Amino acid sequence: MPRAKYQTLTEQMFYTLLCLKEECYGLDILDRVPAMTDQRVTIGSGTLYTLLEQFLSDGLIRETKREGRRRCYILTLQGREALEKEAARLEAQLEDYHRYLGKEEAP
Amino acid sequence: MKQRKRRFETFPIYNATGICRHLEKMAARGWMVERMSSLWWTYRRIEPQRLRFAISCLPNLSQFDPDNLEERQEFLDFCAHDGWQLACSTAQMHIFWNEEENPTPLETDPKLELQSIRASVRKGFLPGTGLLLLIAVVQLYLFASNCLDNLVETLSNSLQVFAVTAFAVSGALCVTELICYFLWSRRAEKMAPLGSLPPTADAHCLEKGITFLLLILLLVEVIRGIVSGRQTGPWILAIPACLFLLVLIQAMQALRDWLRSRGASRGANRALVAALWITGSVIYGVGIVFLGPAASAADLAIRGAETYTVQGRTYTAYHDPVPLTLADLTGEQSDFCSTRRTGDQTIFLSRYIVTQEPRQDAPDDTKMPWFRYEVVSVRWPALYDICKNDLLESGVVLEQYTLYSYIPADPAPWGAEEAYQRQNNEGMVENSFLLCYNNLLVTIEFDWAPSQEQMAITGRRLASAADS
Repeated sequence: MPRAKYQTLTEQMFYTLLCLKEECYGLDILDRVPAMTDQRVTIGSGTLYTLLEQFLSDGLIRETKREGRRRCYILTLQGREALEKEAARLEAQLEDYHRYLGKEEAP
Repeated sequence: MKQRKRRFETFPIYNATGICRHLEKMAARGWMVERMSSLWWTYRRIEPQRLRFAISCLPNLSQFDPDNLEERQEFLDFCAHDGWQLACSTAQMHIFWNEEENPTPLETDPKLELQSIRASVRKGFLPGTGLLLLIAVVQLYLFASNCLDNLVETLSNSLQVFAVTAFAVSGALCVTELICYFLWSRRAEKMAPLGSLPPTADAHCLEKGITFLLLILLLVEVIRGIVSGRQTGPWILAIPACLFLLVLIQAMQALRDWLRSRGASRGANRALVAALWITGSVIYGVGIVFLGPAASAADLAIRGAETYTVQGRTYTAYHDPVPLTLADLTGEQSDFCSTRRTGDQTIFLSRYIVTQEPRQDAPDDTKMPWFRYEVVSVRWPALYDICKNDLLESGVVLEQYTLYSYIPADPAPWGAEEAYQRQNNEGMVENSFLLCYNNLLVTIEFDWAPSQEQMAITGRRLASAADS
């Protein structure tokens, strides 16, 4: 996996990978991500296609089945690692926020 | 009512802003793009409506991939999910339209979008533009080299001047395109992390205007060349050659698209299109070989020339109209004389060469003189001295170990402003002169020593018939 490329995941990368913790058709991701984020995050169809191709070639996801023109994907171990690393990074960021902003706001 | 139309478009792949804006205008006027080729885009009539257009680049796809490629179909399904319908595609570029007022954009990650555009540009636009630029530079170099060797001949050759103009303009357009792309790419690199890509600079109208101007110039050159009858041969050959190449390119694209629609693999499609290209090139080469003599024959027929045979060899006798004949100088008419005039003209120079000599079947007892002259009319005053020097230096040639040069002569008998006479390296003067008039340069060679009266007639006739 190219390390530098996935050191920080964009929101769209993050949620695409998150959707694929279980087997999922590519097309379904377009609906799932807005549903998961209360419409806060949407992924353009061109962007999703490019992301899936990149994740596939970098080994973050794998194709599980193909039904005609529909392909099903699932997260690989590498993908899960990338996702966990990003989650840890976001948690650390959030902790920092609470620690510093929380201190300022304390009476 | 016309249901389809073709338009010449010059959008590069990275100019997404320009393409979308243009297609939105076309849709509002009732035209939807349905096919893009390298020569033109085809539009079909639709109800005039307000549509949104967007472009997505898939760098891994090739223009030879089948339409029903599953990966591509999956991508189209993704797009259809958000209401984006494919209008047409070429190589990596896919153009979509959407009826919704505010649809989810096709691309929502500017960094990824920029990556895709750059990869697609590296695959098609950069090598294509680079190659054209290289060809243009080589052509300019060859033209400059020809100018150094023989300035007058090169600057008066309409085919060469037109070609170098076309290549110079194409080269300039390539450089403009490349600069626009690299500037945009740099700006895009800075803006992508901030959430958007910058609009592309649109040189499309300028490029289209320049291309049309070149086509009009070509048309004017062709008509002028044929009407004047001076350079019919090369143009007779150039027109079908260009048409054949256009048809061949169209046929290759049609074959490629047909194979794509039939689901042929990328490799098979490439191989068959390459086979058509090779076959077409062979036909082109053979055609040139056969059309060459046919073009010469047509040229001769237009000029009213005739052929005759002497001792098994075929010669051509010309009867071209010329401003000065041997009869004008000697007063003797002859039926055994060939008068040939060749020449060409450009915006820089007009030049014609006349040779009048006895035919090969002239009776042995006929003692006939010959002469040859070249009249150059300089249309740009700044070029006059440069052309004069070129002609003076062209006298300095090594012919069978003899070096020639021009020495000043008396211009008065010729009615000229300046006159020069050729002499060899042994100091022997010859009956060969360079005469300078207002904007005219005349070189003339006699096989006899002209009298003062003949010089005066020559000067009067040639100076007054500069462009005839």
